[in-house]
Amino acid sequence: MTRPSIANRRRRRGDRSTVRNWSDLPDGPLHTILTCLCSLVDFISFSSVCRSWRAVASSVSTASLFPPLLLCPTFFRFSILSSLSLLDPASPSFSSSLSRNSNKFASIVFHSYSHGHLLRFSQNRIIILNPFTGDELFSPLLPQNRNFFPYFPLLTSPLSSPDSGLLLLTSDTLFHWHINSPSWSIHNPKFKPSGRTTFATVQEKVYALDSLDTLFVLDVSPQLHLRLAVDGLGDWAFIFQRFLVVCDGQLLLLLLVPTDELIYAQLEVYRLDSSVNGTRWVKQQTLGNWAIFVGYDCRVPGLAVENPERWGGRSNCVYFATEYGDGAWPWTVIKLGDVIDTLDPESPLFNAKFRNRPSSAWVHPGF
Amino acid sequence: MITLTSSDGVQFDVREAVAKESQIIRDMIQDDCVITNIPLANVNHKILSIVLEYCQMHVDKTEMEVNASKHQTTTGEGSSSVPVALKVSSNKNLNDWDKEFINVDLDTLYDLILAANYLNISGLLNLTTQAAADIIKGKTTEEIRATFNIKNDFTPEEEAAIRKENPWAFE
Repeated sequence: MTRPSIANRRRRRGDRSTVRNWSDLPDGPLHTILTCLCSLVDFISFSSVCRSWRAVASSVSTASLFPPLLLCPTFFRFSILSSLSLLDPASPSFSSSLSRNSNKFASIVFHSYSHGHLLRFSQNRIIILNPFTGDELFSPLLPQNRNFFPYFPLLTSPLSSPDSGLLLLTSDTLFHWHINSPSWSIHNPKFKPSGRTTFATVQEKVYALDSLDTLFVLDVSPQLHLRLAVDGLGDWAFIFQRFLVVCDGQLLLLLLVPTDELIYAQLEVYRLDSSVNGTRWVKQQTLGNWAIFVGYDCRVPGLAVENPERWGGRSNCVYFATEYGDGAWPWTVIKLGDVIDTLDPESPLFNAKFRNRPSSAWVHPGF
Repeated sequence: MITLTSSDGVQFDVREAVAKESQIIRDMIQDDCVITNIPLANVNHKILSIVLEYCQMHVDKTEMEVNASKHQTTTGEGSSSVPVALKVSSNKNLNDWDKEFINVDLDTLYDLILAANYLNISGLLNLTTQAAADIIKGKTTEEIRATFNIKNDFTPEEEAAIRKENPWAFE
């Protein structure tokens, strides 16, 4: 009989060669290895190794494991796009430029950014470009021949989802194109969203929030119809910024509101609560073990990631992208409860402007 | 005592607590309390001895902690911060020990992952898969294949399609 002992049996790791067939590892351990990776770049390298590793990788939702990447456009002559770079909050040394891979977007004016795609008006239609692959999708002709330039088209959900649609809200009309359908639907809402409006999709429901904090629900079928859901909230003199975020299957409203001294701001988070007593916003004291990523433009809904500590991020925090991302602070992390000095150049509110062109935004590249 | 027999016929006598670090052995003992000899068809003696070294260490550490806190309650001396400090230092030691323990060559790491998976020892499975992930981190696809001796079994067309999905990641 042998007793277990500290055996003198192990070659140390300096010896890197292996004769084992690592592509034959069972799915269970492979899956665990995958969930120990911290960045999307490592995930993509892993998923491209061989068929069996790719099969395991394709069963994992990257959006729940890894933080999104920051897509940072740079421009010349105000609105002509010159390049797009990518940064990874899980891997500070990583930086990649998309312009070397595709010249499809260089020197072109884009008008908005949504769910990982750049959108532009071209001859009365909207062209949706995937900047990662260079693939383009053309909408049908818009039913009205007019100048749509000041408006901000948005996708209701990622293009890969079967209900994805393209929305365009002008001063009086709402246009909706169900992706791959032959034509646009048109609606002239009775209650019209006011000012800059953002859209987010939660559990197949499309919500719209306007600049007066009025929340609408958009019915896409049987016919396009916008109806009131919640009529405003709070009694602040003004709100610096507002974002819709889909977090854990729920709709959150993130507000940057002034404190008593108006040059300071703080974060408030509300959750949309639907019960028999109606639909209302309920204030949340914490984001728990989630981190939220919001872009520079509040019309693009934010993204939520669980357990950010596993890749070196921080829970109960909001990652605000700054305008271009090519500066010293491409994003700023604000904890719930922090007071924000709006005059601090690192503050997400410093010099905040709206422009009718894409700005830094968080994206989960599709797989 | 329980006797575990490796796939190549070597027998190991271990305390029940050590064997029960493995979920499948725990289940077997629970189902049949007179069981004393368990053959393990998928683990050879070399790997089994390493696995048992891990289980032994983790059981010893846990028992030490339990004894220390019992001692604390019976003697009633000192403040309550002492056992916490003891526990922290013992966790640190155990983490250091794990780190040194898992510093093995890739063939051994592979065999340990399979054994931890087969015997269902969650601590060892986490430790070994984390070690494999740490080797993967920061490597390109080509470097991962070279390190782990994996043959690229994609057709050139499939490979091109994969690269087209995320060309930025392959620079």
